[in-house]
Order: sequence, then C-alpha cells, then structure tokens
Amino acid sequence: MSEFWIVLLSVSAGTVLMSVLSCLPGLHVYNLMGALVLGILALDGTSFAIPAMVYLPAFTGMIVSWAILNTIPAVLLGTPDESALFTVMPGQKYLMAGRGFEGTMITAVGGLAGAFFIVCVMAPLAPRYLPVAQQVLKGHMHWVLWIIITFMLMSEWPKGGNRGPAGWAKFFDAWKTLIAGVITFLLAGLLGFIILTRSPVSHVVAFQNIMPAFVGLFAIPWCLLNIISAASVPPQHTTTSLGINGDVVLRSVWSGALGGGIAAYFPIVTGGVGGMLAGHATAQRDERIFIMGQGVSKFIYYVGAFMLMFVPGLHLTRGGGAWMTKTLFTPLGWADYYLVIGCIAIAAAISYLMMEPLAKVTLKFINRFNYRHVSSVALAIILLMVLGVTGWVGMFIATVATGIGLLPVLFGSRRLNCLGILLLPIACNMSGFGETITGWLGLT
Amino acid sequence: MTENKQALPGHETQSSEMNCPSCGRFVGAVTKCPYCGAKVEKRMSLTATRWAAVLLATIGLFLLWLMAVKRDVPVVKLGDIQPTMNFAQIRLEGEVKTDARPFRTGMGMSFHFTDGTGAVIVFITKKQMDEMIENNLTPKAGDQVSFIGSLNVSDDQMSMRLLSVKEFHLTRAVAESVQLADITKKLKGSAITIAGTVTKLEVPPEESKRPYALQLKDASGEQVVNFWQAEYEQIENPDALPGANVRLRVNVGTYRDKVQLTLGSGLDLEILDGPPATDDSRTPAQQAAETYRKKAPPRDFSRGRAATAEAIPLSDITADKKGHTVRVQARVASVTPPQPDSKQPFAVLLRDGDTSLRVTYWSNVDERIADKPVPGALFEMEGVVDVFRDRPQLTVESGYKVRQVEAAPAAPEPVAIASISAADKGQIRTIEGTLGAARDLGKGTAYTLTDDSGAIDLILWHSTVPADVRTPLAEGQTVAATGTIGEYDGQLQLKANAGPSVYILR
Repeated sequence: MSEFWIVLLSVSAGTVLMSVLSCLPGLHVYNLMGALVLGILALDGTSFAIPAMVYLPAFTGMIVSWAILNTIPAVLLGTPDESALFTVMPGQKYLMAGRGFEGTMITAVGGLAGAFFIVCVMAPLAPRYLPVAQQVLKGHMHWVLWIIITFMLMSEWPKGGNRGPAGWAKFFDAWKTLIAGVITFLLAGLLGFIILTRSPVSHVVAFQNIMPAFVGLFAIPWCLLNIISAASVPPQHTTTSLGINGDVVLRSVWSGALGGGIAAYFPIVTGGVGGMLAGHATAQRDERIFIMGQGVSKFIYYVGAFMLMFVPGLHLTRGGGAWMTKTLFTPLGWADYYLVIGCIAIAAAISYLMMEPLAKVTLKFINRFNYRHVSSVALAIILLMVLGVTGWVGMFIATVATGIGLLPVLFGSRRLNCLGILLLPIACNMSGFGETITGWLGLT
Repeated sequence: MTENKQALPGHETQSSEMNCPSCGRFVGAVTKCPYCGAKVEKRMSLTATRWAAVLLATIGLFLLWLMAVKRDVPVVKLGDIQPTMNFAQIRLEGEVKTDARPFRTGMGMSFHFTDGTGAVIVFITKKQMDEMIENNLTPKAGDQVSFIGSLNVSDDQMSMRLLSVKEFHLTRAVAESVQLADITKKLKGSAITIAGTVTKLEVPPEESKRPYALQLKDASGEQVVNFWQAEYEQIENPDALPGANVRLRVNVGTYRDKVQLTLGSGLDLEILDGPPATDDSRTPAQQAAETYRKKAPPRDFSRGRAATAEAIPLSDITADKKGHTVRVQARVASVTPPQPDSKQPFAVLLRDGDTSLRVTYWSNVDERIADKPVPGALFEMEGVVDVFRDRPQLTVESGYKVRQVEAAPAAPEPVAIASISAADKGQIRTIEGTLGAARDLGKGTAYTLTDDSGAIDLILWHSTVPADVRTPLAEGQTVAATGTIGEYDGQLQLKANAGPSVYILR
C-alpha cells in the first residue's frame, strides 16, 4: 500500500476513534495518547513495530477530533478541561434553556473556522515568520509569563461587598473570592514545585508526572460538584439552523485565533488563559461570539501547538501532544510539515461531520439517564485511568489536587488559578530563581 | 429573602438552591446571586465540602511535600532509560567524559557523562555553575560523579538537567604525580599532579587575551603552566606565588605540537609550607575510580525512523534536494561562530575535493556537539537541505547528528620562509616570524611575515579567522602562523587557516 493510503487510513481511523471517545466525560486525548505511546514503545523493535507513517497521522487526527468534539461532554455533560472553562458557563446557559445541541454546534463551527485559519493562514506564514519571532522573543518569555500571571490574578473582580454596612465584614465579603483565587494559585504552584522537582510518581512513567495533578485540579472537582449539586437537565431540542452569521464567525475567529495563538505559542499558557487574554483584548460582548470564539481558540491551542513542532526552522515543542510525540519521532523538513497540515485538514472535516450525529446520540443518552449517574461513571473512568497509569501514588496526588481544584469551584473564584501548578514554577525557573525556592522547600 | 421567588421558565426542575430565591435565575454553586446580589442558601453538604477541600488541600500538600523530601531518588543506568521516563528525576552514577564547558553566553555549562551503559549530556544552570566553581566541583574528564537530574528524552537525543549541587558528589580522577621532565605528549588529555618552586609569574598586560604563565621548576626540569584571570582569582593568596613551593593539578594538552599545561581551577593550586615531598599514594576511592573506567557503546537514538538519513557525497547536494534529509561526510574547511550578541547561526564549511557545502546550526545544537568541528577534521553531519542565496546548504537540527570521524591532523613543524617555493602551493605550512605593519584588504588584513631567511605575506580573511585571533596581532610581534600556501600577482603568500591559526609567541 502506498504511503498516501496508509496516511489517509491512519488519520481517518484516529479521527473516528477519538471522535467517539471524546464524548466520554473526563477522558483527555493526552491520556489516551500516553497509553498509545506506551504501546508503541513496547512494540518497538519487534516484528509488530508501528511505523511513524501510521501513528503520526493517527495522533494528529486524535488531537484534531478531540479539539472539536470535546465540546460535547464540556457543554452537555459538564466535565470541562480548563481550556473549556469559558464555554461552560454560557454553554450551561444554553443547556438549561434546552439549547445544548445548538451550543455544541456553534462551538464546533468555531473549531471548523479554526481549522481553516490553521490550514489557510497559519500554515503558509508560520515557516517564514515564526522562526524569526522565536529568535526575538525567546529571551523575553519569563517576563511575558509574569505579566500574564499578574493580569490573571488582578483581573479577577470582587463578587460581593457591594451591599450592607461598611466595615470588615463587607471588606471580607468583597475580597473572599479574590483571596480564594490567590490561595488556589499559590497552593497549585507549591504542588507544581513538588511535582516538577521531586515527583513521587514512579520514574518509569515519569512522562505522565503531571497527569494526576491535572485530573485532580480540573476533572474530578467538576464531576464531584455535578454529583453533589444534582442539577437536572431540561429536555433538549435539536435544530437545523444556528443563530450565527458571517459577522459572528469572523469576529469569533479574530478573538479565538488571538487567544488560541497566544496559548499555542507561549510556553505553559493554556487555552483558558489565552482565551481570557483575547477576551479582554478584543472586548467581544456577544455570547455567541464568546462560545464560538472559544471553539476557535481551543482548536488553535491544541492543534496549533502540535503543528508548531513540525514547522521547518522552528520545531517548537508546545503542549502535551507534542512532548509525547517527540519521544517517538523527530520531524525534519517540509515533507513532515505537509503531512501534518494535510492530516489536520482531513481530520477537521471528518470531525465536524461526526459532530452532529454524536451530539444527538449524547442528547438521547442524557435524556434517558440521570445526570448524576453519568457524572459518577465519568468519575470512575477518570480514577481508573489515574490508577492504571500512575498507581496509588498518582491517586494520592490526584486527591491532593482535587482539594485545591475544589477551592475555586466552591468559593466562586476562577478555576484558571489552578494553572499556578505550571505557571508559578516555570516562571520562577525561567527567571532564574526557581532553584532558590526549591532550595527553601528542601527539594534541591 | 424570606420568601423564595418562583423560578424563571425553564428552571422549574432545578433544586431550590440552584436558583436565586430573589430573582429566580439559575446560579449554580455560588452563594451570592451574580445578577441581584441576594444570598443563596445552600445545603450543608456543599458548605462542608468547602472546608473539607481546604483541609484536604493543605494537609495533602504537606504530606506530599514530606514524601517528596524524604523519598530516595532511584539510581538508573543510562542503558535502561526508556522514552516513558521523560521528565523523570533520577540519580546517575558514573564518570565524566569531557570537561565541563561554559556556554558562550556564560549562562551555564555542560559536560558529557557516561556510566558504562550509555552517555548523556548534562546541563548546569548559571547559579549551579557559580556554586560548583566556588566549591571546586567543576566536573573534569575522568572524575567520578553521582548526581540527581531531570531527564529529557526525545526521539534522537537525551539530556539531563542537574537538579541540585547539594547532592552532586564528585571524586576527582586519579592525577598521577609526575616530575616536570617526565611530562611528554604521551600524557595529552590526562590530568597530572606536579610540584615545584615558582620561578616566575608572568602577568598578561591589561586588555590582552594572553593567559597567565607560571614558570615552575623541580629537581628534574622546568615547565610553564597557563591559566586565565578566573583561575587566578580563585588562587588563595596569589601574591605569595613568586618563589613559593606549590603543588597543583593540571591538564596536559599540546599546542603547536608542544606540551602545554593548563590549570583548570585556582583551587587546584596549593601553596606548600616547604619543598614538596613525592607522594603518589591514592585513596581507596581513587583506586576504585581508576578500575571503573569502561568503554560504553553509544546509545541508539534511531527510534521512530526506519533508517538513518541517506548518505550522499557533497557533489550530489543541489538546490533540487531542498527539504530532503541527508547525511554527508567531509573535512571541515572553516568554522565561523556567531558574533557575540548576534542572531547568527554557527557556519561550518565542509570541503570534499573541489566541492564545498555550507552547514549551519544554532547555539543550542552546538552545545550538544561532543567534539566541536575544527578545520581539518573529518566530520559526519546529518541535516535538511536548504537553499541560501541560490546555493544549497545543510541545516543541522540536532547536536547528536554532528559526529567527528577523524581528528584534525596536528599542525606541521615550522619551516623557514626561504624553503617555501611555488611547488608548495596548496600545501599547509607553519611559519614562525615577526609581523610587519598591517595592511587593510577590505575583507581581510595582510602582514609581512619575516624570519631570518626571508619574508612572505600573511593573509587573514575576516570571514574565516575570528576577531579574537586577529585583534591582538600588532607590528613587531613574533607569531606562529599556519595556513595554505597561495600565490597572488606572482608573489607567494600564506593564507591563514580558519580558526585559531595564528599564535603570538612573544
């Protein structure tokens, strides 16, 4: 079979498989990729060794399909990862109004627009301009990160304190969510220092060091809250048209591409942070633009970051997908770049076409089953995954991280603050005083 | 808030605490309605969960910290490392393969390490480097080390980042005690201990790039030990050096086919109270270290690709091959490092017969090259063919893809200028002589080089001879220059080789 057909089959298989799995709440594509990397390495050197021409297109298809179809559990089943942070509140509004299907489809259109942006705008320009930009910016990443952290912490607004008599009680009422946010950021940062410097996870699966912490910070708290709060989903309606137009699409691409681009390019900055920065920068007020923009942003964050590894002359490793793939494959030259861009285009098309039927199937599912039970099953899957890959030590880390991850949810601050787990230690390391702090902590 | 307001349409199925009792809107888990500011009562379970979360986070974090601090970091053999160990914090025990070299930027250093089952490059940050220099822990070839690092594994390379200087244990390699007269070129590349009386300390003039020269004498003979300002500042009481009895550990190298001794660290020099006694006893640890040395097979990093890139001769590389990954083998004609503070890459010119090829790579690639390309050496390089100013060039993207096949031949013995004839054109010759006045050639500088037998023009092209070699040269200096004999306007000339091809003798 020629390479063309091998690649086409691989990308299609990876896309279809991940499209279906994306509907499972709490399952992250990087967790599945991690398991596949383990399998590929185990087969390496045997007669069943899997060549790069098979796993590379499949990985690309998986990331693309997850970036688009992850909207289904994020909106309909309420288990978002942090990059879906902003879509949840407006998305939940759609869900509670019986328009969950429309909400997911608008986000998916955003993902499709993101695919066009990557293939038609980013791909031709990246090899020419990004290596230059990288040379200019690489010495400045540390202060950019500090500015992002400062903005993230300072842009959280007080959610109380505007009523009642003046005094400490009113002051505390205003500041308690902000204090909770800062405490969350610092605790997550402390956890990050421990995990990045002396991870208790076995060195044999060290490439999944951070996974239990992320699961604990983002996935488990959401499942727990769904189980405890016991919200019931009203009957959902499907539709044959969406309440958007060309203007909404263009404005969504503008804000989403900016947010996703920032997240994909800058180290440690994730889709949620990029989306927050872009939201402030572009000041888009329309809820539809907000939802669709996050679809664009999420696509560019996940897929664009993966693509950066293949840009000739750049080869920037950003995001978990790229880091895992790098353990198997080193891209060289234009052939690999064209391969990945082609795979992105094909996978995006297949994923979007699968979105509508899968969203309808999921709606039937949630109409039939209790929301609490769905969240319980999701929680069980997540915990089994953590236990399987990282063992009981990983479960312990996930438990501690869950404690931190529950703080913003329960105190009403931003869940983005949990990203202190990476932002704080990496910013300190980049600025040259990370070792001093780990020294104070007795870690080095 | 004494009376719950009726839920808005579509919200009727929610539990009462999910909707605002004042305005009826869906508010989820928050306790204050974001729309009207009314207080929203929650069931006890949610409030209790809050404080349970705070407790869980703080107690759990404390336990996790205890676990991390008390945990023994596993000792892992390089040969056992799998890609799934990427980012692992592990302990390595073995031998330093190359002396630690500071980065061009001065922001850290690196050394190569082997444990008998594989090899890896170890990166050290500036803070760690300063601490290691201060404590004389800078790794040198042959030293035994045990350290904790963070592993970085990718398809074609592996590296470690040192985590803690506190847990960096170093046992210096056995440095044989040698009489000064017994030091020969056979000891090249080894570290030795010498002792004697300092007869003279030559301090380099200010702004000069020349090293300090410590003249040492023992019962058998004399030698000169070179070191730089950084090492001088590390010496305890350097003012007491002239006339003092000293013992020092030096590295043996060669310069222009003569033995050259260099002091790696000022802390390796000890001023003695009296004349040195011969002592070649070694500690058990040092004896064990000596027997430990083994040659390890290089680790195979070819996973993920069916085979290494196609090996082709230089002449086959054309612009048509743009984007192709190829492997070439040829001699290095010149090496041009980037100008300080510039964004240029390293440029290496490979030559095979009449064909030449420009190879470029960035500083991060250079840092991983074990044996740096030098003019005359035979190298194998793998990279992607690119086109620069309509000519093909090779872009190398990994330091592990640059491998020395054969070292550069030693510089030839100096010859008298009168002995050079037109028959020597194209041959490499070394001449010792006195520099005349500098003449600007635009893209180069010319000097008349004179010895007792005659004179010849010495040409230094700026593109191949680095500025730090050209700048210290001045009229009246005695130098040794190595280059290729050429002819211009009927006159023979010596075209200096690329790199450090001209040395000031006096």
